[in-house]
Amino acid sequence: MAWVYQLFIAVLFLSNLSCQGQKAADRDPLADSNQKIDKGDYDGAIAQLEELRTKDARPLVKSALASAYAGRAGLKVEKLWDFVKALNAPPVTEESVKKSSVFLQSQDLISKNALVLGKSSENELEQLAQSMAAFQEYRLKIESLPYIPQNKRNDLRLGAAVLKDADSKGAHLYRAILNLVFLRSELQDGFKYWGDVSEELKKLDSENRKNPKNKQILCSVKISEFQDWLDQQFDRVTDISEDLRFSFPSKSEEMIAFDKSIKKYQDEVPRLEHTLFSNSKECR
Amino acid sequence: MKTAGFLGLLLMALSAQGIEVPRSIPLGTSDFTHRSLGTTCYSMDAVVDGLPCNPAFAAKERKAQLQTHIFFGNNVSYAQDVNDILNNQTNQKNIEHLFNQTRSSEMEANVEAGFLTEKFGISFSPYRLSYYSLIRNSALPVITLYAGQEQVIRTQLASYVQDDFYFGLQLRGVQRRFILSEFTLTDALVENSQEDIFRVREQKALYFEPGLLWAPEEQAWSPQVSLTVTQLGAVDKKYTELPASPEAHLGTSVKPPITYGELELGTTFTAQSRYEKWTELIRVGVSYKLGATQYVASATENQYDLAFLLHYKGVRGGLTYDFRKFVNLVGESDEVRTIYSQIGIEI
Repeated sequence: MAWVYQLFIAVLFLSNLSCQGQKAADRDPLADSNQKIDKGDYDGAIAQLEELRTKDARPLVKSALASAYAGRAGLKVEKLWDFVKALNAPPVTEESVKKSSVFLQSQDLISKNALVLGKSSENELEQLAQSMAAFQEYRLKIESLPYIPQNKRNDLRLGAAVLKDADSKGAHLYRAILNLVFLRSELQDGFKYWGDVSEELKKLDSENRKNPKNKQILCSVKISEFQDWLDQQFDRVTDISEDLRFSFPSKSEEMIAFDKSIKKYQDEVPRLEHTLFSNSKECR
Repeated sequence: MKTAGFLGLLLMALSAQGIEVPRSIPLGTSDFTHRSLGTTCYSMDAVVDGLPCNPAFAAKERKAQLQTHIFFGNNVSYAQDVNDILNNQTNQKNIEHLFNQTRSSEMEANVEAGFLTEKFGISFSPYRLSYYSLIRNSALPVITLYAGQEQVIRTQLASYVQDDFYFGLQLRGVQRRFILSEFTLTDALVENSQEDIFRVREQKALYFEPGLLWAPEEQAWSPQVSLTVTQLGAVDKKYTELPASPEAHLGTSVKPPITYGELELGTTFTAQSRYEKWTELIRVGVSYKLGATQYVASATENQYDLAFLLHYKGVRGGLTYDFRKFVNLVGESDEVRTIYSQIGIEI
């Protein structure tokens, strides 16, 4: 019966193994961070993951940190297929830009005030309208994405920054999504600048009839802020395109063509030297 | 002591940690007996299909029987996902299915045929599917996914030794194709994601699973004490994500004499390397057979199973209701309820 005794010893050995159990310390710290994110403790998760990423090079650590920032900004993937649909949206074309309501309405206002504006200002405003019309088209394509209020948008920026030099395609796609949500939110708010211009053009239209010599009507529009904002959005779109190229290498050619079209609109943002905005000599 | 020393070294070599998947999913057996009785099947006679859990019980078998059965859960819809993933045909529908879950999901399905006679048993399962997924992080969903497809052949040899002791050995050969991966939603959506995260791996394993039974005859309550060691074996390729540390099941059972039907009570203690609380390692089971019907129940601290089986002229059909309580990754108490069905034929 020696073998019975030996089996009994083996069982004791196994029992000894079992007494070790699964210690909390054995758990992956990434699992703890994910638990914090699911509990809504984003500050705790961010603190833990910022420390973890200095010693753990796994791509999932960076993605989790970016998602903790996104979570703190209020971004949750509840309707995740809306994200996918936004990514599959057809590109913006020159034709669609010229058919957009923003472009058509502004054309109407500009032509009505052509005499007051002069040829140079008219061209500049037309180009500006074209850029805004292009953004309006982008806005319509991504409006199903969630809106993040301005005071929380910095967390989206931090999340995207964490993934800037990431190696994985998935991380770059997530960065593109964070920037798309940022862009969608910026476009919703940023159209107020264009709203100001349109309002002033409408006023110019009525004032023009009363007083054709009045050229100071656009002076209240903070045009340098508007230009900076436009540049930031164009850079963001270029950034999104770069990330998508990384995630979908076979779409590179499409993305390069898209980049060129963006560049065209960006280059066409007028320097507004002649237009009657706050920085023109007529307003000073 | 040489045997124990050898076993000890082997156990240490096989112990490893990996992505957390309940070990019964990739490493367990999918049939009615294991599901309804849990680990108490290692110490009880109440086998309802297939080969006995403890191979030593084969030495008590008196009649030859050929059996075949199909076993599946109510979440069998995942079978299509498992097939697509393992055949490199993962598509957007599979990914949508995966990420639209809100909690952990499990699935098991099995087709098996076996022959059992005195001291010998053999069975073959050409198709065992298993699936487990766990989703977390609502800001960027992360999935732990296991999808496996196996062919399993089991052979049991058993014999009476002496002094009411029986000894049996099960040789279990498993050929498995599986994926075990942890990835984010965006990892799954990018181009060529299949190459990176849905990489199918293969493993061949051979397990030596001994069993010992003490069953004195002509005792009023037919007491039995048993010991079974499972998952003891060797693999052709080791994957740290799929650790296979052995388990030992020490159990006892009795059959109190009753006027109508046949009653059996059993309990088993399982020694294993990973658990949360020691009370989870103890399971109790009961089987009551009356005419063509059999009722089975078993429970451990966080899980219970209730099963009903109907035998009619060599045809068996049964249902098992499985309830499991666990603490999810958010630290909250969570539950999984699954109904399993079984259809079997015995000749």
